[in-house]
Parts: sequence; C-alpha cells; structure tokens
Amino acid sequence: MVSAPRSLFLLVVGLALACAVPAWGEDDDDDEEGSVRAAGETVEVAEQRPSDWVEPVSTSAAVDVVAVDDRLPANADVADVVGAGAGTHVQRLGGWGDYSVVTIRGSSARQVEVYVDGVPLNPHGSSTVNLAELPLDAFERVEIYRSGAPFELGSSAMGGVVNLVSATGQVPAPRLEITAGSLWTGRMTVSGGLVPRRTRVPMDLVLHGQAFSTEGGFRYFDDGGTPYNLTDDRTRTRINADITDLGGRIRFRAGDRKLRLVVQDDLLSRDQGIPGLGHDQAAATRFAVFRNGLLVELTGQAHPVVRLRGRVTHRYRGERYQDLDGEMGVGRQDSRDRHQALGGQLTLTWIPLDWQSIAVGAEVHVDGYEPRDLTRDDPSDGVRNRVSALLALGDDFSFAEDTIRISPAVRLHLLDNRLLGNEPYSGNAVSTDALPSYAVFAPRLGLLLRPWPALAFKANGERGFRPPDFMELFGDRGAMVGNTELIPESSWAWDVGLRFDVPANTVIAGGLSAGYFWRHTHDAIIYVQNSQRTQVPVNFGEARVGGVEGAIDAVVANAVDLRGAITWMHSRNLDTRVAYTDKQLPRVPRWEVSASASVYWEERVRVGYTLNFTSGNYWDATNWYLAAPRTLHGLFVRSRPGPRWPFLEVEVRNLLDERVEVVPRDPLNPDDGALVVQPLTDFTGYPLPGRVVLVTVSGEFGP
Amino acid sequence: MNTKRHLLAAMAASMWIGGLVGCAPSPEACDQLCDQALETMEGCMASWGQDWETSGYDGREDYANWCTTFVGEQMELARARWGFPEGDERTGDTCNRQLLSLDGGTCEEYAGSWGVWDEFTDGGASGEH
Repeated sequence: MVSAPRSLFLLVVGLALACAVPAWGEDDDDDEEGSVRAAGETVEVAEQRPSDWVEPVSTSAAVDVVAVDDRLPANADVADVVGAGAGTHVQRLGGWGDYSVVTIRGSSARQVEVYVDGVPLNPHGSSTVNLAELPLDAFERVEIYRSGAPFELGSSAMGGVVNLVSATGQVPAPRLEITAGSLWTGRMTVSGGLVPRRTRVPMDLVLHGQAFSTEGGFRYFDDGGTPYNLTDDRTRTRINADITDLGGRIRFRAGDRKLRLVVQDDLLSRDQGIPGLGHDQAAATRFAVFRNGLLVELTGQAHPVVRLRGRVTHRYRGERYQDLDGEMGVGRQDSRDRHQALGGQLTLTWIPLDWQSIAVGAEVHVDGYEPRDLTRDDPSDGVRNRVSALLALGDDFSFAEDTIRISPAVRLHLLDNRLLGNEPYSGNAVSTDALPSYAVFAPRLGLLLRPWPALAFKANGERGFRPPDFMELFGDRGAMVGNTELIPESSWAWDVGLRFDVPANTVIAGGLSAGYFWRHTHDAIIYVQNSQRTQVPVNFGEARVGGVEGAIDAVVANAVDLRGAITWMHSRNLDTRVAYTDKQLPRVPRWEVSASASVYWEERVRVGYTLNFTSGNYWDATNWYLAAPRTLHGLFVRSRPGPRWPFLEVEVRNLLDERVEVVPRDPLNPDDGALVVQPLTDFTGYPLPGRVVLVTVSGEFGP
Repeated sequence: MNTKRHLLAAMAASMWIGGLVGCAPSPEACDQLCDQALETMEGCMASWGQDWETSGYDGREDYANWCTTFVGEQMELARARWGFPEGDERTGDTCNRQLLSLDGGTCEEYAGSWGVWDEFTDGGASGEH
C-alpha cells in the first residue's frame, strides 16, 4: 500500500499546482509558431511545425524527431519514445517510472549525451541519465541524433545525442492530467502559462509540474539464482520498489528575435527504494535525488547576418544512498554525494551568403563532485573538480541549387584534471600519468545530397570521445566501485543513409529512412565483475559495432498512424584477453524492432498498439548469458466526446503479461537441448513487471 | 447522451480487450495437481517425521507457491519446446499422469512422481525431485 503521508503529500501538492496554474492561464492570441500537445491536433501539429523543427530530409544528421502529441499514449515516457527509434535500445531496472537508460548504435549509456533545450545533463558523458527523471509531456518534441548532432550543442558524444525540446511557440492552455493504475501507481501533471498583456516587451511564462508515486510491488518469477535447482523457485512480490517523485519546470521568456532572454529552471525531488536482485531482495536500501538545473540564455541579432547566443547554466544534483544493512555491496553504506556544474557558452553564427553559414563556439564548464561517506567521522575527502573547455568552428554551405550541402566542423576539447584530488582510501595523489590533462581534437563532416526535395542521401563521419566520469573514477556505491587508472575512451564513426518523404497532398503523409553505420571504439570503458558482489570499470582494448537500420512513419488517410523501426547490429570485442576476444559486446542486441499503429476518428476515439522485439542480447562481456528473444506488446484506447473535452484513456503495458523467458540451461553448451525458465530482465537480476493497466483522465481548461 | 455513449464504448472496448488477453487457463488437471501434491506432502511429512522447515519450505503457502511456480515453469518450457497448443496439451497430460500417481500412491512414490517432468527440461536427465 502507498503510505498515507506520502499519498497525502502528493495529493496536496498536486491540488495546489492544479489550483495555481489555471490562475496563470491566460492564453495569448498572437502565437508565434509551433504548437504543444493538445487535444485533437494531431494533423495540425504536423502542419504547424515551428521554424526550428529539424526535418530529417534537410539535414545530413541521422536523426529521428518525435512529436509529443496525441499519437502517443498519455503515459508514454521518454524511454518509450527514445526506445521506439531506429538504432536505439532502452534498458529498464523495473516498471514504469523506474530507472531507465538508452544506448544508441551499440554504445554504452554514458556515451549518449542527453540535453534539455540544448543544456547538457551529462556533458562529456559525465554520468548516465535516468530517463525516468524527465517528464515527457513538458516537451514539444524529442530529437534523437544517432550522428551529426547540431553544432550548437557542442557535443562530441560517442553514442549520439537525445535532445528534449520545449515548445517555443504558444503558451499552453492550462491542463490537468491524472493517472491511476496497477501497483498503486498514480501520477498527476499540471501545466499552463501566462502571457501578460499590455507590456512593451513580449513575454511569457510556462509552468509544468508533476507528481508521481508507485508502490512497484509487482509479482515476478524468482529462480533463486540457481538455474539448475528448481526446488527454490518461487513467485514473489517485489519489495522496496516504491518511487515518489515531484518535479517542476518554469520558463520565462522576454523579447523577440532581435533580443530575447530565456530563464528556465527544472527541479526534481525523487525518493525510491532499491530492491536489489530478484533472488536476494534488499528490504531497506534507499536512494534519493534532489536535482536543479538553471539556464539563463540571451540571444540576439547583432547584425542582419550575425546571430549571437550566450548561455549560463548551473546544475546541482544531490544524491543520498543508504544501505545501512549492507544488502547491496560490500559493507554498509551511507553516502551523500553532491555534483555541481557551472557552464558558460557563447555561439556566433554568421550568414555571409545565402548558401553559407559559419558558426564559432566557445564553452567552459567547471564540474564539481563531493562524495561524503556518512559512516565516517570525517565524511568528506574534499571537492573534486574538473575544468573543461571547448572551442568549435563549423561551416555549412550548399551549392548546385541546394542539392548538395556540406557541413564540416572541428572541435577542440580541453580537459584539466589537476583538481581531481587524491585517491579514495589511500589518500595518495591521483597519478598524472593515468589522468593527465587532455586536448582532444574532434573533427566532423556531414554530406547531404538532395536531388529532389523529397529525397536525401546522407553521409557522416565524426570522432567522439568521453573521459571517465567521477563515479567511474572514485565511485563507491552498492556493487559499483571506481578505478582511478581509467583513461578516456574515444571512437571514430561514420554512416551513410537516405531519407525519403512522401510528397505532400497524397493519401499518405510521412517518410522512410534507412542507413548503415559503423563505429570503432578505442579504450572502451566497460564494467566487469571483480568479485562476487562488486563491479569495476576497466578500459578494454578496442571494439567495433556495425549495423543497418530503417524507420518508417506515416499517416494514412488521416485515420491511421504508423511508425516502425528496425535495427540489425553486429558488435565485436577486439580486446586481446582470451575471455573477451571476438565476443559480442554486452547489452548490444543483434536485432531490435519496434512498431506502433493507431487508428483514430477525429481524435474522439483512438485505438493504438505497440510492439517491441529484441533478440541476440548478451548480458556479459564473456557472452555467458544470452537473453532469450522477447516481444512485448502494448495497447491503449482513448475516447473523448469532442475536441475540447477531457479524454479517458486505458493503457495496458506488457499486454500478454510476459514475465519469463526460456533459455538454454547451459549457455556454453546450448545445443545439449536442456532448457530453463528465467525472469525477464534488462539488467541481470532485476526482473521486469508483467501486465500493467493505467487509466488516465486529462483535460484542458480555459478559453 | 452522446458523451456517455462514447465513454461507455471506450470502457467496454478496454474491458473486452483486457478479458481477451487475460492469462491462458492452465489445464484442469494442473489446477488440481498442486492441491493433491500439498495433501500428499503433508501426509508424508508426518510419516517421515519432518515439518515444513526441515523439508525446505516456510509453510503450506510456501509449498503451494513453489508447486504452482514449478507447474507454470513446465508449461513455459513445453511451449518453448513444442509450441502452442501442443505444449499445453503435453503439460495437461503430464499433470494428469502425476495426479494419478499421487492419488493413492505411497510416500516413497511421491518424490519419484516429479520425474515425469524431466523431458520438459532436458529429456529426463535433470530431475531434482
């Protein structure tokens, strides 16, 4: 059961937000451009895309852009959207709202950089980003760059970029959405905005708030961690899997295209249990996060052909981890870690000619990390700092009447590790041989050949790199311990592809894309098990991933929405250690297929179906455990009486209640014919839930 | 009126789909198997001079949990090995066979009765019971 104080807390906060937002909600008539998620506007959203909307056919980047609109189930989260794209693979630690990460084209989760409105949440892959902490419906769209991320993001991510983008157009009407469902799950979101009238300078304010809670106690199959012994198998209930989070987002804009100020703040407080392995559950281990991100941005048109953008960002993340009974790792732990990052960015774009634009960028980030071990009398080893800087120069020019576009860019990443501090426990200075300061040159080239407006051929080549993050160097949490001997990992990648958009004014609207990609990684940082209960990151030699991907999106006769993506990947570990040589990289599935289809009638009724298939996925670098192929289905039915009416939606996740998979009992001898049942998992030992039903009511208020 | 009709239609559709995809029913013999096994086990424990703890279970409920989990595993293995519906038919037949051997069998035969499932795992080489 959900505890009474927590339920009351969520209810009070939710109601307070719900009451507050309509008071702000004065919608403005003179909207600029774009749209936000709104009832009955599927087609309009597609037609009224804002000017900064990335059209895959007009960029060399391998990119999927997914609108957050009525085509998605009301409770779709960022992981659902990102995981449905080509080349992506999402891993979850549990059910809806639980920890989830994305990998792209066989990367690790850290190699994917996640941005919110262009602000990095993990610059240089400085952490994994828990996608469950990001409220999807606060955003207008999700951009998934598998290669060729925009110059202004300043990223040399090895694994691609996910950019969540807020609506830049109209202020949303006040909206309230309430969901309740299986596992004592509840969610309430409120959003709205204010456009003050009769002001000299145009300005607006947008608010979004979310409260989420789940008990998370789903039933699962437990093999006792002993696949050969069936006498200890049980069906158990997940314990200590509750999550409560409360988040808010506020954005203030003032000015126009000539000079505009944006101040934006994201806040999140999250408290959850860490249930541990399915066959050895942790009853009391807790994890709490408090996160705040502030952005102040000034953009201006210094000259008709010169555009300037300056940004200051500050991120704070406090994490409390308590394992007072030593359930997860070695010994008891009680830590409070603080991460802070202050960044500044300046970008100048000069468009000297119609067919050419030149951009220059400079960035400085100071990242600080202070781990505090509260089990010690003197809990802090001091603050560890890392300073990074970026100088970038990019060009984008086209010729032959815009049928050929070339986008070269060079980036120089500078990394100063001198303030990292001493090694934990020993107190010795971190070896400068292992962690010197770096200057990494990361060039990039994008080519676009567009013989017709609806057809584009693309090619990209780029270098990526990622230094080890604080947790990888100094971490000590649960089963993960750091390694101060790590050196940065880097990669070279290239891809070729095409995009075809169905010409407008036909029964079918949409397009398809296909591509081939290849990436060679040096010094890949991979976690390996170094004792029965701990894992440590080490640099592997080299690794290679290649693959083919395809995607389709279509609206047929204004009544059927179709989306699909398919990815085939071949990964190879080139490390010289015998146990790993020529093995497939862990958690890089050979096949990944996702598809969704929905049928609708004037947004009064919409019935949607989703499918996700994964196969050929090893859990470990030695290729011992091969997960069975699995297919998960979902279904949602939504109905509303009219365009401005509230809607009622019933969504069923994991429709067929898939909770187990059948695999060879001896992974080293799969042909002996012996089979065994094991729980369905993304991460070894963390079972996934069966069928979950969610009921949502959502309505907009206001004129 | 129109509004109500739409809402009711949506709810009815959701309930119909929910019912349609509900758990496939296990064969009747499999439903009875664990009740019979529990009864036999309790009787045998008394004759063996054991209780639940010394037998490796927390109690009756734990034994019932193990038994239903075990039978569910066998059905999954059967579906993987022989497909649907043959896997379910074989599971039902095997439940029936074990049910017959438990019904009126001796305590010595109880442990051996679980061997009927060996072919589901590996063709008879891995019986734990």
